[in-house]
Amino acid sequence: MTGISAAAAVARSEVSIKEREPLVSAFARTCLTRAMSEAGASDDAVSIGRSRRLEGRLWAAKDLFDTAGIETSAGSKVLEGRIPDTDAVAVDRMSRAGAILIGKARTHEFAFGVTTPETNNPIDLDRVVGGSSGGSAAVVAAGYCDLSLGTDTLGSVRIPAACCGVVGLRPTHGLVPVTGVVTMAWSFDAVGPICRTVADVADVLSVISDRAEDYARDLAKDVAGVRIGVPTNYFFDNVDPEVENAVRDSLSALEEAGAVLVPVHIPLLEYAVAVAFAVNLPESLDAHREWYPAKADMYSDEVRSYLEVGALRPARQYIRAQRIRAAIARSWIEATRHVDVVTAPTLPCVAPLSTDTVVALPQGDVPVVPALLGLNVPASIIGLPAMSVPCQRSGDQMPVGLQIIGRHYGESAVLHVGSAVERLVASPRLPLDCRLS
Amino acid sequence: MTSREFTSEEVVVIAESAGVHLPPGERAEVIAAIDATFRGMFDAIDDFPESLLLLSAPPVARYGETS
Repeated sequence: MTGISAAAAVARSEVSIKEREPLVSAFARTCLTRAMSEAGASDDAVSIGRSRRLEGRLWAAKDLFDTAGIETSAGSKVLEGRIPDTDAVAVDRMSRAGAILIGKARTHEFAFGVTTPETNNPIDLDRVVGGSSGGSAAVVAAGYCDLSLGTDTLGSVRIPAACCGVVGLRPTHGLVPVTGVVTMAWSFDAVGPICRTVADVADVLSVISDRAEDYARDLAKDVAGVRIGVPTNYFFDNVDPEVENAVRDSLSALEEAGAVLVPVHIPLLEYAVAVAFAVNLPESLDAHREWYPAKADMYSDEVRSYLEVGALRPARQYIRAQRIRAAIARSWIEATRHVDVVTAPTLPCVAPLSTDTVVALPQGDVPVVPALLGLNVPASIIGLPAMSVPCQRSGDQMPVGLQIIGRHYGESAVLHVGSAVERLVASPRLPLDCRLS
Repeated sequence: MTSREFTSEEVVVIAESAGVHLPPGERAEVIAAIDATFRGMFDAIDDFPESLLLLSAPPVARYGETS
């Protein structure tokens, strides 16, 4: 939605929301009146030549981000009616860069889940939108705005991005402040953009990052000589053939453009999911100490059960999981020392149907939660930057996400390769009317 | 070392020690059952080869930055 005034963009978005939101249900709440007022000020700023990096760009925040004067309930009855006094740091940085908030996007309750059940996938309404930042991906895929923010603990930015055919980046752990964001697990949580294009992700990251860096600077460069790691274990072990073909076709396109594909074997990844759960659940229980057990009855059974299982984990096991985590990190760094990025599918399948409880994969049925988390967890437990970019060539098929994983603080390399995939593979974008018919 | 599954009575006691009040009965049984489904995963943690663990890695926020 560039090339038109901010006021016109808000008006256009309002029409889209009225048409599609009854079907998609991506927003927990909107703030379009406030947005229109800010749009007027933004257009005034442009008219006097004071345009900022995200001037007049519309965006949505996951309902985990504090927004001054706007309810932030983390998708839970526990926090219903909670209106923060101040903005989360990332929200404040978006505002200061000229972006205009149009609403709070739905999240799986307290970010505990991979489906965001209240929201439907704009590309196929019978399919899940992914999660936990499902609303943040859906607002972009439905065409309400081009930019959104989500959070990624064990894949919650990349999973919905892959399900909805948009771009989602989990930055290096600690690169973007989480102040003012409801915590899920402190040692994993990362704030990340979900946007229509890689260039949009780079612009948003440049605004919300703690580092004064222009992440868009390398996007147009060619990929000749870039060394791309292709895992020979774990990531392709149990993947739907349609997904594997799309990912490998994209890698071939990168190779034809001059990139060098390097096979990499990364030991110990088979422990990654176990480590993630053994660390995440106790950390989450601690993060909820203000509300649990005091408001235990207000949680859904799903989230309450996760917290209670977290309470059963002995400290010895948590510590041992942390030690294994360090061993996995060392293994990853040693195995990928000679490549610039590692690539993999984001998910082993396309977005499951909302009624699915398992995903059918070549080695058998896998429950939806571990199926969608599995390939995202390694970057999360090591704190690496990782981005999902659409890579499905056929417009008749559901989107497939290509995951690009970088070194710590290697976001520029991740965005560079992602931008090349976007150019070379050129995922067709379906007309919205077709998506919603 | 492979740990065993908890009984629902044990779940009540362990949860209480972690500050979580879980009355005996159906809910404790549900949690014991869910915990059991994670059992294989948690056993993998307990059974991880000692020789592969790092001796000096602190549990810092960015795990890749350990030497």
